Amino acid sequence: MELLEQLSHCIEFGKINLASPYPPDMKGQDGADELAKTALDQGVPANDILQKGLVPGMERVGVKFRENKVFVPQVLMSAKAMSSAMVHLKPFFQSGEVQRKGKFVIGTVAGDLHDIGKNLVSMMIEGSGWEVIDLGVDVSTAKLLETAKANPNCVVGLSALLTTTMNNMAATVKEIKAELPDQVVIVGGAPLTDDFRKEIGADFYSPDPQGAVEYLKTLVA
Amino acid sequence: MDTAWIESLLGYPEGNAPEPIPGMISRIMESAQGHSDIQGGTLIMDQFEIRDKSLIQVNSLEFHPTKAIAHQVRSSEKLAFFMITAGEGIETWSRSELTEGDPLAGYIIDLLGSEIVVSALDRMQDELAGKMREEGFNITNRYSPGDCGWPVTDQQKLFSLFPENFCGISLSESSLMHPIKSVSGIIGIGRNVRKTAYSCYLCEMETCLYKYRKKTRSAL
Repeated sequence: MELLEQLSHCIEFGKINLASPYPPDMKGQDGADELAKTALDQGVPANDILQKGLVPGMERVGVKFRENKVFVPQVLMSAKAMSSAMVHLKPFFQSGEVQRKGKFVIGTVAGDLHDIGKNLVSMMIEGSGWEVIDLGVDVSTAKLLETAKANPNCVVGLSALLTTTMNNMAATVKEIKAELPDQVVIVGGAPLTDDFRKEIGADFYSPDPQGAVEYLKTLVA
Repeated sequence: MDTAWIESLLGYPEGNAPEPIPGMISRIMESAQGHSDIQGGTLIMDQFEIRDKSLIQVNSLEFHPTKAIAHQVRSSEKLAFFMITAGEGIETWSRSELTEGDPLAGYIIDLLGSEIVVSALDRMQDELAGKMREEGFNITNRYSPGDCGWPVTDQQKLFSLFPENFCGISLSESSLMHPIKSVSGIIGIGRNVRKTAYSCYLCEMETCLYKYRKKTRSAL
């Protein structure tokens, strides 16, 4: 298997490094950590490692997660494998040799602290080549606005798990759009629907992280 | 609560999660006690009024738990307000794994923390039911702000009934409890109330995480 395809395979199946026992059929083999370093040592451009190795692997995980073929633990292990490879690419991001697709600012709305879904979306979007600025949980509109202003052209992602905090999401979107009319805002969370998205004036809703990844892809196409 | 149950919450058929997940769950469950500090209490009030189908008034406080919940507790002669927490330790442990350690372990600890507080609350509710039974009363299901559309902001009023920092639980301005693995709410008490086996039918939120969970659990 070609090196970058091997790397994709490690991301897809969550093989972090040589010492990692998961997945059992890859025990004793190099993981994303070693393979990313090997690729750099062999002169593979850092951008190719990201775009042809890491991103396709994470995309396959996202699709399988949407289709209920894998569960949250596998996504988390894939994300960890991705992070272990990204450590080697960090200097290339800093030097500008590897360009991110854009910046994505994410947080759960005020009053909501359910962050597992938000974290999954963050991981998948980071894994698709975007820089993620994660503001955490219970994020005020003021903080979101401040971050959006400091990062022009970013995309804002809002998450809510409770029907009761959906109202806060509506108010947050309204305030953001009033102050930054061109700001792209995407929303997600278990109780949401696309009708609700339209009602509150957000730009996009997806019931799964991969949908958000695919939407962001259209913005930079 | 056992390994297989946590596996099912992770999405796997019980006993079918691939390694390293079962081993990780076992290790986490063994250590969980050292990270938990379960505390809780109830406040039983007999001076209250339920009116306009969806309003509960206690002293000068007006709670708006929606029609569905008010209907369930409308025949109550007493109301038990409760608070319970699994403590700060489990949250710190989970957060530390999620941010600096193993995100999978952090996720499992987070799930386990929720299970610990729910199990503790089950026990507290059972004890309340036993005590009330001795006095000739039944109890209703428990309901929390956030359930069935009950505004979470009503938690501010609920907290005002208890001493400050009761059981180490505090409330933010946006009505979030700290520690995170905490639950507050009400239980109706009376001769003509009853606890139903499954009350999620009251709520119209089809995509609710807990509705899915209850359905799953009841099917096991």
